[in-house]
Amino acid sequence: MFTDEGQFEFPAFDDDGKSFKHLYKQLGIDYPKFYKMNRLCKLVFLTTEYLFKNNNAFNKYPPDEVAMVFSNANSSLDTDTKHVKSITDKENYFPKPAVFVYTLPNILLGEISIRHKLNGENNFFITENFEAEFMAGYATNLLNTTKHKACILGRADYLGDAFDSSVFFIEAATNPLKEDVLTAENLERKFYTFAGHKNKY
Amino acid sequence: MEDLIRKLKEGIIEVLNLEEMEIGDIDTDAPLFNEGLGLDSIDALELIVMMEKEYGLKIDDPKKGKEIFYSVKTMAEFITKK
Repeated sequence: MFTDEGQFEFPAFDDDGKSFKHLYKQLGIDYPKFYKMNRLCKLVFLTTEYLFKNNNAFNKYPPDEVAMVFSNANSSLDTDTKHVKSITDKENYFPKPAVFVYTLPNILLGEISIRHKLNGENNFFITENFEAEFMAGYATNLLNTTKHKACILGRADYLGDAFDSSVFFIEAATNPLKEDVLTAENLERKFYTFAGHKNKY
Repeated sequence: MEDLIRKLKEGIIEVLNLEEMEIGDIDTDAPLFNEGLGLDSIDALELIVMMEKEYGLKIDDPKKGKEIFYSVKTMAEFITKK
């Protein structure tokens, strides 16, 4: 399933998300909050857990020097739809706080920050396609002009039965920007990803 | 009591949106908050609503809430006593 480049292709599954649970259990970690997350957060949680499984590369940096920059096309629409369903029927009007709290895509940044105790700058952009050049530029600027020494950069989307998640870890120290390591082309090539089901974004 | 515990676990999975969790994943005696399921204040709201909606029980005293919602077992005991 995992390639040398760190890619993970999901097997086709029709088990209502139980593959996520399987992957979570395979990690052998105890983090019950995982079960409460929406599907987008679970996806990014798993991607980052596998990315950092054997190498918590960011541990050498103070928590406020690790930034996060993510983007997707569909924001939190997957959960928004679920929330709308719970408030549409005026006769059966029971908004669910456990769902509502996930009606913003950047909540996933909060979940990753809590999990890894990070508190650097974080940003979430909504763009139809993965704008590698823009993302690379943004991360470059963060590493060049702020205190941040590393950046977790990702693209993650979940809508209906399609999902895709790619996460990169960029260190200013080991990827000198002046040598053009952090280029859009490299960002597109060097990644760790989960992709799955019928459609890939 | 067994049936009530099963029903409570089903209710918790439903109201807290624990999509991938099954009844067997919830320990009857384990703390629901912080440890165990790692629930928080938002989840407490959901559980309070569930108690009212499903069992017609209101929790007026927040201090008692802490005891009642300690675990699935303590929730079941509270319902049984009422």
